[in-house]
Amino acid sequence: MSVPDGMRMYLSDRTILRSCLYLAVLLGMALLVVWPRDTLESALRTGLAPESFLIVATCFLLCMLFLGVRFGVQDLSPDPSIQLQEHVRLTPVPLGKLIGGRAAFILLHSLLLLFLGAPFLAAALAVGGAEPPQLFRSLAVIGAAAAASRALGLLALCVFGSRQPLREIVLYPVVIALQVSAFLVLPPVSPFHALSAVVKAPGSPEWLICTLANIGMAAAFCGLSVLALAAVRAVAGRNVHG
Amino acid sequence: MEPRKLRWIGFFPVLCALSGAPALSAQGNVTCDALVGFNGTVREGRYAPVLLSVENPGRRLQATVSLAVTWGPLRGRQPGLTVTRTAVLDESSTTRLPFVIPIPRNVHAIHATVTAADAQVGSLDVDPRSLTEAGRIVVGVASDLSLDGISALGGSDGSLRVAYPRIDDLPRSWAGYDGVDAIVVHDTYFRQLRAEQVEAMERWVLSGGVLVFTGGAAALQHQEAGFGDLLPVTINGITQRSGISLSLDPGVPRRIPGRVELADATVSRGRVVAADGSLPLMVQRSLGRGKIWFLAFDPTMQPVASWDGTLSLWRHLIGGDRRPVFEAALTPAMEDPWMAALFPTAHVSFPPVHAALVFVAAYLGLLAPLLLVRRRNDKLRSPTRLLLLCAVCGAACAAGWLVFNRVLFSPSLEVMDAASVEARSEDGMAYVTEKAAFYSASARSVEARIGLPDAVVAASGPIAAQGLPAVDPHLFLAADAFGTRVDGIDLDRLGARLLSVQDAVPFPVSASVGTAGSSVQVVVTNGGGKPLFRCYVIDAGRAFSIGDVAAGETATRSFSLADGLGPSLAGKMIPGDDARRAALFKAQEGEGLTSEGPPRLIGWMDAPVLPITFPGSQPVGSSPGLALVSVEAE
Repeated sequence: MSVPDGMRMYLSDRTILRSCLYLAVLLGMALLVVWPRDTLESALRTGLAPESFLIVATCFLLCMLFLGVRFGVQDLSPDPSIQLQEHVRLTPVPLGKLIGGRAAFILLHSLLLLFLGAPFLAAALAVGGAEPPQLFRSLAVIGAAAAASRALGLLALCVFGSRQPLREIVLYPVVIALQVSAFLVLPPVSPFHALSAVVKAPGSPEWLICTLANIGMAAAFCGLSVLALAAVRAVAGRNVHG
Repeated sequence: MEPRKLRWIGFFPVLCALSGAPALSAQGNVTCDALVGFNGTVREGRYAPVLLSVENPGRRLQATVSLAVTWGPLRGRQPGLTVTRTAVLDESSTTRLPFVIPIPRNVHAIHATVTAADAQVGSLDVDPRSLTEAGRIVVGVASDLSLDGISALGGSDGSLRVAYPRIDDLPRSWAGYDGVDAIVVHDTYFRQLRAEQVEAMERWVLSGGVLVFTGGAAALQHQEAGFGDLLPVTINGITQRSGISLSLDPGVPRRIPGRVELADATVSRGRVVAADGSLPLMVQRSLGRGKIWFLAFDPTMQPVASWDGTLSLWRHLIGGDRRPVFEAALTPAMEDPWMAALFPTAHVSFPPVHAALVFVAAYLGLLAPLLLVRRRNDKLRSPTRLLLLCAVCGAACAAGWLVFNRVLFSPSLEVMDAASVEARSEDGMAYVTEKAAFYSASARSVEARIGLPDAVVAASGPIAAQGLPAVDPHLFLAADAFGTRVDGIDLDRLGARLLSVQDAVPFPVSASVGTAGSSVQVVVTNGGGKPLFRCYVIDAGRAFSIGDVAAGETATRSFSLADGLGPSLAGKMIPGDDARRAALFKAQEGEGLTSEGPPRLIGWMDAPVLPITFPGSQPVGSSPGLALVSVEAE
């Protein structure tokens, strides 16, 4: 799937567009729920700042992780006439080009989704005690984490193909385990940890470390996807010759 | 590598050595010595003077000298105060630099560092345990230890100590005397004080200190030493009298036996408390919160020294404990009575939730037509949809930022300021306490600039979690051409802090109240540069409206007693439309603002009364300053 093909599909498919609207509705509801209702005086008196920005950003991250996985495994895409593994088995398409095209599209579509949620974060900036640089850092963290989860979905698609039940049994626990273990064991890589640091320790470089780590992970998953497809093609070739 | 390049590499260490040479030559050569307190005597919970002597045996240095005091719990960032100033250390000389630092109850360390050319060239650690603590301190300016008898006032536990600093060691800042109950000037061994030393004493008296000039033959030195403006009398010579008596308790005169040598003086300002005929024996002058006494006799000389009323005399003169200026444990900003009164009138709040609802609805309303696609007849092409989506998102981003970060709410540093100005008519000076509460929606580092070199600055710390008391911050004060720069205030998100600044400043406002029969004549002269608004004179529990008195104006008003407002003054003196002034007035009313007593003038000033600025901040509403001028006749 090339970038123009992907954009054409993702900007015209009813299910995909509707999922984007759901994302916006969910973030809007989150913003309204966590909007500070106490007076400023009471916040100053207790020394407890409203966490509106952090909560909306965390909701956005959760949604992007979920959508990233689903978009990655093409759960929301219209059924293609030919599945990815079939495409690799039946055609001599270069695997690097195939995955590279999808990776580029992943990045572009993630950007569009970030753009979609950014107004809610912009509205929550001041009441959540953040400033414009923190908005951009949060978007970078969320975008990188979404790209990584989407690349993981792509890897699952390459490994499991259209075997959906098996794919979902393995994929979602892996995503959750990755995020939980990163939060507990390797905090600098965890996007949740990085978001918290962006708001609570504005000078901390954690957002940059996390962004680079997640982009690195996305690249690694794309590389593994190439390997997985190469294995699929090799097995198919052996079967043909056998 | 080419030989030419190697040659340049060879030059590199030489260049490095040359550039570092000045610092290296100075390293360790500068020696420091510190005199803390009054001959090593300090008082807990008060400020103390520190005289840092820096000996530079080498060549001339442009140095930065810092003195840091730390206190509080030994974990995390230690609260404290670091005072920094630049100094030129002349070649082969000793430079004496005066500092004033607080001595809290849990002081840990006092550390001085001297840096030149970005390298530390000297340092000194002062062990606070080596200092002598006293419950009360009286400073004796005398050539001998003749005032030791005063220490008997402290009782058998010796909690009152008399310290005899050298004339050169006397503080040059009024806050240096914070721990001192009284200064007794006996003689200056014919030396003259620096003008700033005399000014420091004057401002300290204004803040509530007691200054006593003793008489006898030594009194002839007072005017020559530079105390002319402080003395309540003009000393003409010496005389002797026999059988003089003083009335320390009303109606009970006590006779001093024998012949007493007295300073022959005429009263220039102040009131005579005791006299022998026309010769004043005791003269008292009120200055601000404090008092200046002149005794015509020398209590250290016979026969007064052995007189049984001497101790009672000292007890009468030195009186009670003065109010300290050191407020290391300031209350959190929102609990301060002034700010608690002002804040509800500030009209600052989070944007209402219905504004957020409108924003979300508008955004979703624009998104929905672009994202809800019908299965058929969808004529919107993908590039057009992409462009429209980007336009809607971009516009919503800009609108969200503008409305919720600029129009309805601002993340900038907001400052709320209030001041109290206490003065006495004719003093020409006022003791000002100014409090600035500041907060910001986002975390930031705050800098304050105070255009006064000797102001006492304190700041409250952030509110600790779970309602624990505020932790003192570590303030960095740097003296510069502007005055004092305050750094080290790190604001948390929506954290509020309080900065308190106290100083004695010129305030040439005077007032007089004359009553004849049923009429009251009031004259108010505002010789200062700032107008006084909504002035009232309060006399015998009734308030008379003077109106506004412009800078340089003298306002004369006549009233009949019936014109005065009754006892419930607060509601009437402050118009209902000025809620901030009404709130501050109410907060200070408990401090005896309108109680019965001598006549006083109350007026409003536009704060900041003291030149305090917070770069990059914006004020929250008006900043009231309440001036209270006592019109007590001597």
